[in-house]
This record gives sequence, structure tokens and C-alpha cells, in this order.
Amino acid sequence: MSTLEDISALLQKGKANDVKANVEKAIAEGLSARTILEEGLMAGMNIIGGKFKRNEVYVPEVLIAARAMNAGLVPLKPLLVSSGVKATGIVVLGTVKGDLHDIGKNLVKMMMEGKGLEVHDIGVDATSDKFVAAAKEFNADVVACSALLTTTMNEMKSVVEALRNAGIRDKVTIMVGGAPVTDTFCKSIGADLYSPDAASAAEAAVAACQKSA
Amino acid sequence: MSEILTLVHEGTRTEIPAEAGTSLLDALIAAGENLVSATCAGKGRCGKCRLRASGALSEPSERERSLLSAAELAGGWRLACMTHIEGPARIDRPATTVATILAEGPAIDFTPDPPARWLRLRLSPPTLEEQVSDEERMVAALALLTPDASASPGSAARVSMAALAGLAGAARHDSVEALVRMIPGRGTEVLAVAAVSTADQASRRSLGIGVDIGTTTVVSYLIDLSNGAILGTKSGLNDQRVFGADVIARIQATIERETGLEEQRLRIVSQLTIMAHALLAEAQARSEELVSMAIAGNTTMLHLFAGVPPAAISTAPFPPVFTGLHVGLAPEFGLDLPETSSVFLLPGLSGYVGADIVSGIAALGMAEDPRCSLLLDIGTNGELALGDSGGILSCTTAAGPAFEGAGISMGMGGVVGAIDFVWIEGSRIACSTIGDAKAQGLCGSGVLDALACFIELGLIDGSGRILDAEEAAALGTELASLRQEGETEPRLLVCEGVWLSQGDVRQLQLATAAIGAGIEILIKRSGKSVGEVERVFLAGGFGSFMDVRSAVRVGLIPRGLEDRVVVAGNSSGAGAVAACLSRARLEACDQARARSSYIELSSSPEFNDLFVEHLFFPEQA
Repeated sequence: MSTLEDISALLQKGKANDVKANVEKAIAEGLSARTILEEGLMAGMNIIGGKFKRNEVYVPEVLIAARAMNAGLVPLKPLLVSSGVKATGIVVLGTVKGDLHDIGKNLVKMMMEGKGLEVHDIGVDATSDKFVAAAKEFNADVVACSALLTTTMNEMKSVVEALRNAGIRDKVTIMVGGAPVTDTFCKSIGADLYSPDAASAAEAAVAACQKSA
Repeated sequence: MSEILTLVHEGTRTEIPAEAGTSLLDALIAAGENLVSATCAGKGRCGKCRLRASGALSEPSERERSLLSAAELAGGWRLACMTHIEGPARIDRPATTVATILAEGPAIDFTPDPPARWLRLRLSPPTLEEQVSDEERMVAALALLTPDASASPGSAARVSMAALAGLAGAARHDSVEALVRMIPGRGTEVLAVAAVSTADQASRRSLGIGVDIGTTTVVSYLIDLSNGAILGTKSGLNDQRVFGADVIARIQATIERETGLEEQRLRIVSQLTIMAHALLAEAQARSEELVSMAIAGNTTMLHLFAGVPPAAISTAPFPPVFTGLHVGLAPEFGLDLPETSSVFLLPGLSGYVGADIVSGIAALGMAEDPRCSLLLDIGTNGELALGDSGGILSCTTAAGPAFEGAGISMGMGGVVGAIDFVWIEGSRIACSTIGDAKAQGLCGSGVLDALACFIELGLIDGSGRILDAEEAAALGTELASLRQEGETEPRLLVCEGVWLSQGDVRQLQLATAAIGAGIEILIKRSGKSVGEVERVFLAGGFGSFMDVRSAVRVGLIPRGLEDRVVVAGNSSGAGAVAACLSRARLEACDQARARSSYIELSSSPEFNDLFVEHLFFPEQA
């Protein structure tokens, strides 16, 4: 197997240290940062994402694979920055006010980064003002909101309204997700896209960015 | 239009009216029936509210078609939450199976000194020379009997109006019996006065009831306050369960349903009233002998009991309306008990570390002991507390209901037919079932054992993956035969017809990681090491029934602590019993609260990293 195939396979098994070592090996072999990212790390994450979507793998494996991907990104990041690899699109992502659930949002972040999107994570318990400020600051293509509680999902509506009041509603695609969220709910609050899982969210975000580009 | 819904059970029929268009679940709730549990709060997700129904009903919905097999649908099985009444219909009430609910608490070892009790007071006789009122003579007699409570000036006992009325007749004798309440820091009150029991009457006892309101189960203990003897115990599933299995669902019901708070309050109040009357009847007690009821429970349960809206507890920063000790009388809480029975709502710490944990800390004496102890109460929320007399740190961690058998494909409660223990015999798996019945599924302890055994046998690797057929075959034919392809995912057979699926393992991984990471963060934040933890108290039903070695094998409890485990049973209930029995223990609840602090884990990046690390099962010892 080539080093890139090794990286992909090890990432899928969640072997963080081995992924990092092989990324370093690939750099030493003279492969470009972009190639290592796309054909090594992202390739592995995409396979995990696809399996996750088909219920072949579950949250723990994705988290474990994501940890391995982060380990692999450590030696790669400085090279990516210096070689000026451009992101597919820019996403502002957060869990809405009143809700501290982090893991689902982190899964989405990982899947999005695995698709080459630049993700700005504004954390949990994020107010609608925080979403607006980040969307402006990073000139976001997509604003993605997560809520895991029936009692906090209505906060997503406030985010939609805040973006409208700030005059940037039509510049961004608003995505919503989380266990209690449905497509009907998404439409009822005037958001643009609902995704049932992290992998679909990443695909939908890429599609939205390509449309707006 | 109103229709008739008929419930049929072993030859008896009950008819309840129901509006056309309502779901079977809502109709049952309205009629006060507890036929089914709605684990997902009637959202059509969990499939636990299944029952057999026939008559004029809506067509099976898409959700029902996915959660019920074609054979089940053909046999009349429906989901109560998804099935709507269109005309006359009937439900076949299933035979009730009794769940194994833990009602044992740790033995309590202290001198009874109850905060509320009947006292016999000897009154000085009234004379013409010294004209003082009956009230003053009684208060003076009380001060002589309880010097510590009446020591400071201005601390003379307050006498209620009801007590004065009783005093009028009783004080013509030289002694009276007074129901006295002495709460540290709140002075002394006389709540009732009665004539001394006559010779042919048994003397008036002082009885208390300690209550633990759990989200899932409710337990009441009747206590003889003179000697601490437990005279009886009643337990049952919480009658609020039709509104959902977890606290978020119950809170949601108070928000979504106009009368959701009142309906839930009435259910728990009447459940406690019924339990109390049954306990008193069995102990052949006179109702006025019941002097106190101390109630522990999680913060949401106490809000629902008191009729205080708990809505804010469900969103960050989760502020509860109250966490302090509240003292009142039975009628103030709507309890149909003697008007002079005191109610103590025990203090909690935060929205998610409630009076159940604080009273457990108090009952176990953790905040007064120089030895470091860890208290684990593993339920849908894992509540953890660690510390010693220098201070207690606590946290709560979302373990999910996997260890209660929910969300596991073959999971079930601790009822007859549930596999409760699984062990390795040579290179095979052996198991036992509750009631020695044919195995139908796995209860919490069985799920934990099965997971530990499969990890130990190597059929599940450290990352939680079930080995593929080739890898399993390499382990030997006997082990390979435990593995089978399911419809979509691999399964491991515990016995014929009962298995653990790959999805189940993943659920359990999330649950163990949440608890394991929570324990690690408490130990780290308190500046201690695992070796310094001298005692591990396991509270709650799952903690009491589980095999500690299995818990260590899957990473739920840190290795090295298995020999320090003390099964604490229902420590919350024990704390409530102690609060009825002893002023010092009631005060200890307040002290435990004052010495404890709460760590919010969900906003901690450190916790998220530890959580991912704990997803891996520990290597073999």
C-alpha cells in the first residue's frame, strides 16, 4: 500500500499516532500538502462519513477517526497555509443558546473539514448575535446551527431572524440539524437546509457553497 | 365526538371515554392509566408504548411500520402514541410483570433525634395564685424537655392555632402529648396537642416516611422514629412515566401541554399519598402518628412535586427555581395526609445534581469523613460526587438509558425473563435469567456483563468493533459460533435468541465513556489520584445489581478500585429516612450542600477530549 492508502486506512481505524507518523512520512516522500490532505486524510474521512450515513459505523468510531484526523493535520497545517490551499467554502458552526451539546456539532465540523470546508466553530450556547458576528467576520457562505433539545431548537428561529435583521440573510445558506430537528421544522422557521446526519450535512454544505460560488 | 375505549384484562373490562382523533396514549393519560411507558414522550421513536388494540383505529403509520414487524402488525400490535381513535376501540391490557426495584438502603447508625415527633409534656398544675395560660405552661414544660432547642433568648416555641384548639381540652389533665417540630436554625414549633392516650389505648407513636422520587421509580419507607426501625417499604414505577422516560421529556410536557405541570404534580402527589396510606395501614398506625415525610429526588422531580415550573432546568445555564431545604405541612403540598404532618423537601445543589445526590452524600457521611470517597449513581444521567471532609466535587454526565436496558436491541427492564448475569465458562458464554425463565432479553446488569465477556474473549476489540467472521474464526470455532450476521449489522449471541448488536456496543461505549471521563475529571480537578480514592459507593438500582469486575473491564470504573466498592443501595432514600430520624442528619444535608461544588462538564473542552479517550475499552489487565 502507498503511504496515502496507509493514512486513509489508519485514520479509519482511529490510530491517531500512526496517522500522524504516516503524514510526516508522506511529507518526507515529497508529496504535496494538498495531495496528502485530499487523497489521504479526506479520503479516509469520506469513507467513514459514507459508512456513518449508511449506519454501518456509529458515533464512537467517527469521534475516534476524527481524533486521528486532527493528529494528522498537526504536521500538515503549516504546509497547507504556506501553499495557499483554498477552502471549498466557509462555514460558521455552533450549538444554539441554552444548549451545551458539543459532540454532534463536532461531528459535523469533522465531516465538513473532511470535505475541505473552512469551519469556524463558535462553540456551544452561542447566541444569535454571536452567529451574526461570526458570519460577518469570516464572510461565511453557510451558517450551521445545532440543537439537541426540544427545549432549545426554537432558538434556531432567533438565529434566522438575527441574520435577516443584520441584512445578510440572503448572503448565507442557513443549515439546521440535531436529534429533535426535522425538515418540516427547518421550513417552518425559514431556514434553508436540514440534514439528518453529519455526513449529509457536510455534503449539503459543499453543494451550497458551490452554488453560491 | 366522544368514543368509548374499552380496556380488557383477564376477564375484567374498563371503559374510558375518549375524543375521536386523540391518540391511544393521550386517552390513557387522560384516564389516569399507566398501561405503557412512553420512553420517547410519545414522539414515535422508541417503540416502547406498544400494545394490542383493535376496533376503529387509524391505519398503521409509517413509524409503526418501521418499529413493528409485519407479524406484530397483523397480530394487532400498535404504538399507543401513533394510533388514533376513530370510533369504539379496545385495548388488551397486558399481564403486569413486577419490576425489580431497589428498595434497600444502607444501614443507618445513629441515635434517633427526629426533627418532628410527639412528646409527652408534664404541665405544672394551674393555681389561683399564679394565673398563667395553658400555652405558657406547655411552652415552659417543653423548654425543660428540650434545653438545647430552647437555650437562646427569644427562642420560645411557637404554638400553632390548631395546637391551641387541641390544648383547650387536653390541658385539664396534668400531661399532654404535643407534636413538636425542631429544625436547626428555624426554632421550635408546636403543631398539634392531644390528650395523653388512655390506659386501654396503645401510646401514640411517632412515625416518619422517607421518600425517594426517582425519574423511573418511587420508593417510600415507613420509619418508627423512636428506634429507627423500618416498618415497611413501598415502591413502584413513577406514575409520571407516561409523559416520557427522562427529565427533559417531563419538562417538555410541562411546556407543551397546558396542564402538563399540574397533571404531573397530581400524579406524584397521589402516588405518594397512596403509598403512605398503604404503609400506615400495614403498620396498623393511626393517621396522626405520621409526623413527617422527608423527600429526596432529582431537582426536576422536586419541582414537579411542588408544582413549581421546571422549564428553565432544560436549557443552559439550567437554573432551577429552588434547591434549598423547604419545610411545610402536608396540605400545602396537596398531600391527603394529616394536616399536622411535616414535609421536608431536601436540599439539592444544582439543576442536575439534586437532593437525591446531596442526601446520599449526607447519608454516607462523605462530607464529614477524612477518607476520600466516590459516589456513583448511574442512571440516564450519571451523577457523580467525589471528595472528603475538605470538600466535595460533583458533576453529572449524560450516560443515556443504555444501562437501563433502553436503546439496546434486546434490552428490557429487570423483569422475569431478563438475563441478569453473564459469565465465561471455558470458551463459552453462560447466563442466568430472573425467575429462571426462558431468556427474552437483557436487563442493565446483563448488558454490562455481556459486553465485558465479549471484550474479554476478544470478540469486541478495543475500539468497540465486533470482529468480522474471518477474525472471529481465528479465535476458535466455539467463539466464532457466537458471532452472526444480523439483518444489517453483526451480532454476538448471549444465548439462543438474545444478542448484542454492533449498534448496542456503540451505545454502551458512549455510556461508559461519559461515566469514565466524568470520574477522571473529578479525580483530576480535586488534585487526587485514583489510588487515593478509598471508597467507591455505588448507588441506585443498576449500581447495586451490576458486577463490579464487569464495570472495571469495560472502563466504567477505574481499574484498581474494584476492591473498594461499597454497594450503597438507594442512598437517596436512606438520606430521606435519616432526615426524618435525626435533626443532625437533616442538618447534614444542608452541610453537604454547603461543602459541595458543581462542575459543568458539557462546556469543558477537557471533558470532550477525555470522553473520546474513554471510548476505547481498556486493555486486558
